[in-house]
Amino acid sequence: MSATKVRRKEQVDEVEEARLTDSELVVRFLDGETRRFQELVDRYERRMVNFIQRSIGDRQRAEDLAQETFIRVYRHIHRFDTSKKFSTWIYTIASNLAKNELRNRSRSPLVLFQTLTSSWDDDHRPLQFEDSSMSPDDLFRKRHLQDLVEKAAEQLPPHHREVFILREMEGKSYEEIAEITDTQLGTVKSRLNRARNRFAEIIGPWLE
Amino acid sequence: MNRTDRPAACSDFLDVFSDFVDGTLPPDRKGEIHAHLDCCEGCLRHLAAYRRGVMALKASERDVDPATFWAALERRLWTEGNLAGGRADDSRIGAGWRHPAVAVAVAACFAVVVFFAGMWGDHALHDARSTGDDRPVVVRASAFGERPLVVESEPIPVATMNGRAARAPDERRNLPAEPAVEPDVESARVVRASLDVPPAGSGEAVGEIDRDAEAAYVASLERELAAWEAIERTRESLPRNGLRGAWSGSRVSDDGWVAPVRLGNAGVRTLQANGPVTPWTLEAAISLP
Repeated sequence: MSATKVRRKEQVDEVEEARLTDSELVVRFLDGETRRFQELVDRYERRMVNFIQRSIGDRQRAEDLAQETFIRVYRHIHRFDTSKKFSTWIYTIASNLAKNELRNRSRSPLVLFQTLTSSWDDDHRPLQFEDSSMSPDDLFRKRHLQDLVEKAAEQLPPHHREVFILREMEGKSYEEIAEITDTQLGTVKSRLNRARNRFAEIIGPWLE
Repeated sequence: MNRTDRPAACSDFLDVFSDFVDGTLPPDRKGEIHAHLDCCEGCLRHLAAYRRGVMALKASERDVDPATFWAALERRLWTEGNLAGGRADDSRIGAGWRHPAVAVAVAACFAVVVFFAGMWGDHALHDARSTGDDRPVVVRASAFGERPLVVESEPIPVATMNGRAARAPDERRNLPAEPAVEPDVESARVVRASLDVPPAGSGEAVGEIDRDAEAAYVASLERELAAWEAIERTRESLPRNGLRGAWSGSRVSDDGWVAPVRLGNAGVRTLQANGPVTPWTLEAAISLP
């Protein structure tokens, strides 16, 4: 096959991939198209890591738990009801893992050990580039504000924080949040109202 | 300003704040709120702070490196056996493992792992001897389908935290057995090394922390870290013949609690000990490219 044809086929695949719903990807994966699992991972990895990080406040552990989420999806995907939303299912798994993590932490002391081994050379570290269009002062203020709002979110009680993140960051409907958190719709609404007010109360004085 | 400090009209606003933010209020109610916001600076600031805070929170969302994430996930799927069997036809995963040269390499890797595990075991035993405790500890190194290799039985230190003793090592005899399968180098994709870490000072902190016990606990973590580093050195010793594997690890407590440890090509970066009160086993799986 010529290079042009290969590229065209890749483009067709990409378009097809973008068109497929999550449930269709699941069906194709179960039909033997194993690469479809990676497509599901591609779609959700960022959302899972950020969602879990905001729930537990630890980036590295969030990445571990996001991977654990996908492992559980992989193990139980044959039981997934394709008439339902895949995103609700995967958020439910991630939410439960985050809750377990917080429960385990409250039961036992947390000791964080950080070390750089001799083998960790700079080449292995992911590079992150700053936005060069911003002045150092702007950059500092932006980072400071981000730190503040993350701290404000961390101060919310866990069950309030969870609905707040699902609504504001993940854009979930109240019904989906109720399903993910296994709570009543009314409870979701009241928790969200309290969480939003509390978040504004915490962040307000910091912004003045 | 808190809700209790506010006039009634402000409380009304806070009661429907969520609906207002979502834009789901009925038109007449929305008009009332807008009228209130026109004359109440406090509520206007509350709303502005909320919107600005949420925007900043959204902007703070960080990217994930898809390649790194997938590589680590794939490794864990392999390690835990999820990708075994019927998935071998996936060209992205595990191609080439059935080649005899690779099988030989796997066997060689196992030998190296056992060698380093033994070296670390000696180190741990040396530490244990200094405590004068007469309880046994088992240091083992094992591979697929092989029984744990008991290197030696020696005393281990057991410290307490707040008066609660770490679980006695005698209780560790019922460790989960290795799966009774014959080694199959044709399909083996990982080499596994297990190291039992003496539970020096592990315990549960309740109330005030006994600083000596805490120090002992931290010391036990340092030794665990040394064990991971030994495994990392093992991996680093593998690039011969073009092989340079990645690895992942878990801490497995004897009551079945499994905590993945974030490792990988960058070496030991962060070891998070989330406070298991029971002894644990380190398991590292080195997968070859």
